[in-house]
Amino acid sequence: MARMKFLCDAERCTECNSCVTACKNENEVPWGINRRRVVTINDGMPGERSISVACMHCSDAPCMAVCPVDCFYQTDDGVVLHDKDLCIGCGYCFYACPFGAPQFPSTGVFGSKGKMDKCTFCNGGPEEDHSHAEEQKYGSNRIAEGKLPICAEMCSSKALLAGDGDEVANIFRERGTYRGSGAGAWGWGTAYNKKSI
Amino acid sequence: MNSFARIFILFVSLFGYSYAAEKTVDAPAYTQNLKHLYTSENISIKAPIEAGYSGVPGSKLWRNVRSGKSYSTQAIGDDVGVFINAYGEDWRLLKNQIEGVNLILIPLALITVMLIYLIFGKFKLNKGFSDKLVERFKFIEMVIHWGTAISFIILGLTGLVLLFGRFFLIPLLGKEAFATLAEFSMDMHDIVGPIFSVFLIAMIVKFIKDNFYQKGDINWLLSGGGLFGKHVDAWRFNLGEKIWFWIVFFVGLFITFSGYIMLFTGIVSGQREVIELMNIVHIASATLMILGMFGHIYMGVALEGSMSAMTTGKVDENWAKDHHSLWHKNIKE
Repeated sequence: MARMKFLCDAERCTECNSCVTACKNENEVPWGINRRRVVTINDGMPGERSISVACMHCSDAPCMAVCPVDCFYQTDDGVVLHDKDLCIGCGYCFYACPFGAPQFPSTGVFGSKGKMDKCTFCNGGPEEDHSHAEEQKYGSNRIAEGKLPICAEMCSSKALLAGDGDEVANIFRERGTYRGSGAGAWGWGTAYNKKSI
Repeated sequence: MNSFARIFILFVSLFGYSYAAEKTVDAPAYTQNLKHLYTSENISIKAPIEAGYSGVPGSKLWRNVRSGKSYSTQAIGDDVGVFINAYGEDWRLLKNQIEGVNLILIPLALITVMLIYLIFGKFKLNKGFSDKLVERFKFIEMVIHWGTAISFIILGLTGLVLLFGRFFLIPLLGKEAFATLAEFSMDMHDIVGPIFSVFLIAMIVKFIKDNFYQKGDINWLLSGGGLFGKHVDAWRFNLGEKIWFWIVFFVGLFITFSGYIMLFTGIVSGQREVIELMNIVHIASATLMILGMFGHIYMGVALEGSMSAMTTGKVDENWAKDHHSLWHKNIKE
């Protein structure tokens, strides 16, 4: 059985934000909800690196452990999903999540929050696959169609990889081995007028 | 114009142009700047170049990612620029520990208090009831007391449902029914919380003047609060009650303060750590308050003649002489 994983190659990500746009479009994500976001370190400086962040579908997910109503579950593919019918919007998952993945719509009176929304690995929710209810609550279910998440599929520089952990790891390792990276990469010397060693 | 002149003009203009270009662009200086930029001290790219392999920022990049600082992003929302929530796991583990302690302390205290009541029963008045009644609490004081008490019990129960419901109520009720209960509990907790805080402050204001240390209070403590049958003098409130007041004062203010912070901040950029801390403070102080409450209720129930002080506002004269002799002497004069 596959173990689904995301990987963002910081050497390749150009901060084009297509993954964010593709995700919003595919899943009809409402305003103010960031299922995926691109964060840039050293923006505008040499050494700038961007990484696309979303729910990383942890093996031992803190959100699952901390949820007071136990609304999370993990699929056989290792995708962490949640049941919006159970969610009470307490925000504990946001406080526990390392990646800031859980998002909450409209902040109502005081600090009250709506039902949590997060990246589903384009795998919908507990409702029947491709049902209207599932689409309304969680967006598309590409995994059920045999497709991978739209963000990774759309990535023009193939920085964002999604899929079986072993496959993703192999692709990334291959890149490092054959292409090299940074100053060791092919073309670096030409581009920056420096000899690669 | 002959061909020689044409070539001469062409050469002169080309030389002039290239000279001008070199002067304006100052190409070597520009390259020097670029080089400086790429090898300056604070740039993460420098180290790998020196190392000889790869321009991967490596450890420095991932240290920055892990730091919990906010970086630039196109996304709009709370804490979107933060890669890693640096204290989330610490918060969760600490919360689990406190929950574990809760799970031992609260049932233990409840069982202890019940056992003491079952073994020792009611503490009878020395001379039985007299016919005379003395006013102990005014009506407004009773309203404040019961307002605090009822709102606190609602808060305690709803809080415990949210804290432990997953482990004890989901197996009983199932997930759907419990989710409804939990949502109701959370809303009740949010609504009753501010009401409790108003009563709490009213109670602090109303009762504070009788709760400072008064002469002879230490004797009450030294003789064990009359637990061993010996009579002890006490003012309107004995030292035990005073300690309970100050617990309510400090712990109550901790609970309300942390509660308000959580209620009104929700999720706000940069506030995640604050709320995590406040959540710990809230749970820990609420536990202390619940433990104190058990003792307080026990005293009201186990001491014969105590309960009427808070139900009718009046106590038997013999009760006043037994438990609060100095206060009784005071109001008689």
